[in-house]
Amino acid sequence: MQSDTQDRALYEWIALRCQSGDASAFEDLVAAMERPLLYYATSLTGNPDSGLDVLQEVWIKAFRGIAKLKDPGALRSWLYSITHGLAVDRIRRNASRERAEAVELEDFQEADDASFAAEDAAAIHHALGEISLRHREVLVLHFLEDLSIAEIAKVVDCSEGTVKSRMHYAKRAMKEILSGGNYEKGK
Amino acid sequence: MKKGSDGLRERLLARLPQPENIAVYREETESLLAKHKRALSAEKWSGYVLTLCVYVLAMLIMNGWAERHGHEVSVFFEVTASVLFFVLMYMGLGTAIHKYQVDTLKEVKQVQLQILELQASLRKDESR
Repeated sequence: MQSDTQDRALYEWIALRCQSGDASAFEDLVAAMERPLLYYATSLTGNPDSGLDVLQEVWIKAFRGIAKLKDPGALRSWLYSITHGLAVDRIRRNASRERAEAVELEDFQEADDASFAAEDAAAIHHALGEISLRHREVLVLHFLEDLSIAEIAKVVDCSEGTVKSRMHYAKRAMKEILSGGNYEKGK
Repeated sequence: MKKGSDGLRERLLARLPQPENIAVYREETESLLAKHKRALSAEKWSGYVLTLCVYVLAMLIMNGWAERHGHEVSVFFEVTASVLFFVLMYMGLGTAIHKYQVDTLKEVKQVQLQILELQASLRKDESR
């Protein structure tokens, strides 16, 4: 809990430094967020090189827009939503988002509290690549940053109920894959 | 699952394959950011200069118009000039206040971070 508060305070401080024109602040921001954002961009685009291209655009957009960021405490979710938007644009341009565009059954259902902490990171990393894009995007945000449902909803631009539903199905799919079940991506 | 508490985040990030063109990306990003920094600075200053030019030009035109049309128009000109001046001052003041707010918040956040770090180190000492 303390670590989480400290993390939030740290990111807010970096955002405020960027807004006040501190020359080294943006470098600190890049150093702190480069890996998680690259992981997110790569898991959305499915390719590390495309992830890098997305990330480059993210930094440019963030550099130009950070002065106008109203809530510096929302720095991480703001960066993730930029990354999400740019990655989705890229996927659409590449016309490979067909499965993600398919309408999914998204009845509200409370996400269970299944924890994957005990699982092997390699297996989780592999399983993340197996689930559908919409499920993957919420789960990566949950694993990487422990963002709240409201914050994830902002990032992926949908309602909190939809996020809970996706999280539920994503966790179920992950459990199925991790236990060696026969998971179908479109499900 | 709390970030950092079980290390899953770090272990997942460690699975990220190192992209081949990371060096090119870093170089390009650096030069693009430098380019955008210059562009932002130029946009900011050209905005100030443009505002000032528009203000001066508006004043000159209205002044000439007032001189040609006598006292009543001259009063109208003075009132309009004052209003425009106060609008510009108000906008400038708003920007300055926002800047000071950000600077103050930054200092507050820095102190908060130091307190949190001290608390964390105290807890570590206690647990030993």
